[in-house]
Amino acid sequence: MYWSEEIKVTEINGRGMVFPFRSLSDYEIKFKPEHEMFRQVVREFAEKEIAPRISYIEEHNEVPADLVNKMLSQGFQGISIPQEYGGQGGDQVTLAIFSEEIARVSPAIVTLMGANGLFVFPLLFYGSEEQKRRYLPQIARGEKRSAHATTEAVAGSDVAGIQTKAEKVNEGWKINGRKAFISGGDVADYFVVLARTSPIANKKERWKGLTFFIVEREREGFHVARHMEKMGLKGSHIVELQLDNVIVPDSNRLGPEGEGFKIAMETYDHGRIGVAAQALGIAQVLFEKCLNYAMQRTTFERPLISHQIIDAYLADMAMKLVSARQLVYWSATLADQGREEYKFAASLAKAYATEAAEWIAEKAISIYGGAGVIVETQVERFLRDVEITKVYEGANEIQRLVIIRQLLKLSLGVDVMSM
Amino acid sequence: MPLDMIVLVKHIYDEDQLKVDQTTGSVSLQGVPGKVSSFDRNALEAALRLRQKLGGTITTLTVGTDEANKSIREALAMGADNAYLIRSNVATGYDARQTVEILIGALSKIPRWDVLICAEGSTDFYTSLLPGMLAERLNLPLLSYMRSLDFDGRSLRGDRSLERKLETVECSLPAIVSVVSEICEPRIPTLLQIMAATKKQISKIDVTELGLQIPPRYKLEGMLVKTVTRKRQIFEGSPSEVALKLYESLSKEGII
Repeated sequence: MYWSEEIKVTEINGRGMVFPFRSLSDYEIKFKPEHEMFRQVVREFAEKEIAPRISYIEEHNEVPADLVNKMLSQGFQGISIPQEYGGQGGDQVTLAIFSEEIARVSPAIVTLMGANGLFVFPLLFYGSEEQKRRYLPQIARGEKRSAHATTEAVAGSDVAGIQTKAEKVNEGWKINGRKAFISGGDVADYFVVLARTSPIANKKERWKGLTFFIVEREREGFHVARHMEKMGLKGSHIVELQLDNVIVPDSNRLGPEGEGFKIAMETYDHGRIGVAAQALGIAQVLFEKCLNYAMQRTTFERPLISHQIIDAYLADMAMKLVSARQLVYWSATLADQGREEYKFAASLAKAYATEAAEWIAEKAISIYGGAGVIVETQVERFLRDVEITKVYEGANEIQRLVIIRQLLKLSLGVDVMSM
Repeated sequence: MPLDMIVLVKHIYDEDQLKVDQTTGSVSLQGVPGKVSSFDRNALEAALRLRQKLGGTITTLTVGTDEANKSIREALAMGADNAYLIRSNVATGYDARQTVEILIGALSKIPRWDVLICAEGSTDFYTSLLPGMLAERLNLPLLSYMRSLDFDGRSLRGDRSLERKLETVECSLPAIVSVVSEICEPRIPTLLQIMAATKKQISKIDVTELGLQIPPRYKLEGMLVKTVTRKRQIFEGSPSEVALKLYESLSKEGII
């Protein structure tokens, strides 16, 4: 055996049903009264303001400016920004509720607003007070938009493999490179950009030597290079960014030099629950729609829902939907309690909810039959939207690695990578 | 000149979620969730806009059981400064006359106010009797069915929504105002406002403290749904052909 300690085996066996945690209360989901009030308010906004515009958004791949402005003035961009920086001060449960209720109507708008979180989180946890005050209040008020630029054509899951480089110069740092698949890159005013500041020393330590920089859109040499047409999430755009000798002062460096990889990983940890909730919203709306449809549609002179195969599909949908819901809000509760274990839970939630939503979206088309592929019915768009949720914010393949690594680390103190 | 305003907020059974027994057609209120009576939000929004323009305070007043706290929190989240709950144990509520007497009793315990704003009717029973009764009992002017409302420092003024015309009316303070839903679109509170609302105090006065004797004059025996059967006739053809067929059908039925 790698680890000779029988202690570890006893620890696993000794904890019983609560393993990998320690007690039943670790599995509690906690809601506060304001959570339900907020949920209803978001629901009302989504049904009243967003739902009527869906056809337009899908057809033109554009969210109308007046709708964007309404959302910005409701403070939707500042939900997770603390009140001291002008934000709404929402916790992870609140963010999950927001993502789910909006995704129920428009998954694209969740990304439109949520992508800001990938700029806000690194700033909140690693920015200096001066940096936070320089950027966060304007984003909270909806006056400025932001985005996160790590991914490149050559490196998605392999963050350490990025090619963008930053070298020290008199005026600060000079950045050169090209980023790809950047959500909201077309409208953002502020970006966090990951660049390599020291060469790779050896294979085992390739994650070292990366640094984050805040880059404002107006910086000379920085421009949006290419818009990319995609299958779903219409209304939210992804672009390639070109950085040609972009100079930023050292006061734009975010966090310590060489710590970028760690900052990126923590950022994705924080955004994971939001994506899980986005998928959950998709699962929820499709289940409602299928139930409705099966009650009304008649076939072979009986309602669709009286046929057993349809019942079986709906029952499986319900199993996956409710399971996903428990995972999402449980991991959000752990995150709000400041517990490290939330990372394990969040990975479970993200991998499960996105795959459950995809399964449900596919079955929804089966239940609707031919009507399922008609644009007007608004069923097929959810299948197109759900695909990317399995891939971004930590591909589900990576989530599976994270699940086991985190489980062993948190419950047994074992680092599986050094075994 | 700032206005101290009272807004009436009623917690009602959500009319969209009533349960109907399919065989008997009777309506059940068991387990039906509650919500703010729809037009009360318009009344509150009208008050909020006046406060935005002129300054002042907004106090909401609700007669209901503890269930009503949910709706009162919503009103606080929209921006009301203070809230009163006149607590009762009667789940089905009171009729308009009883409610008016309770409100008058409660108003005597509340600091002075300039104008009381309410909806022209509640979206549950929708008798629309309360505003008129309240104004009459308090001997105050009533601006009713208002679709616009302003205050110039001396008088309240706005347009009344009548069947076929608008009537511009004005009166001095203090006054009662009832509004129609067209007056303004109620705002959606932000998360910040919701969180602040959960911390605000709701002042409670128990209905028994008012020492009133107002027995009900009628008893609600039951509620039945009214079913509307649709003929589902489809007329096909060009617009002029369809128009002719429709006319023939309607005149055959004696409607035209």
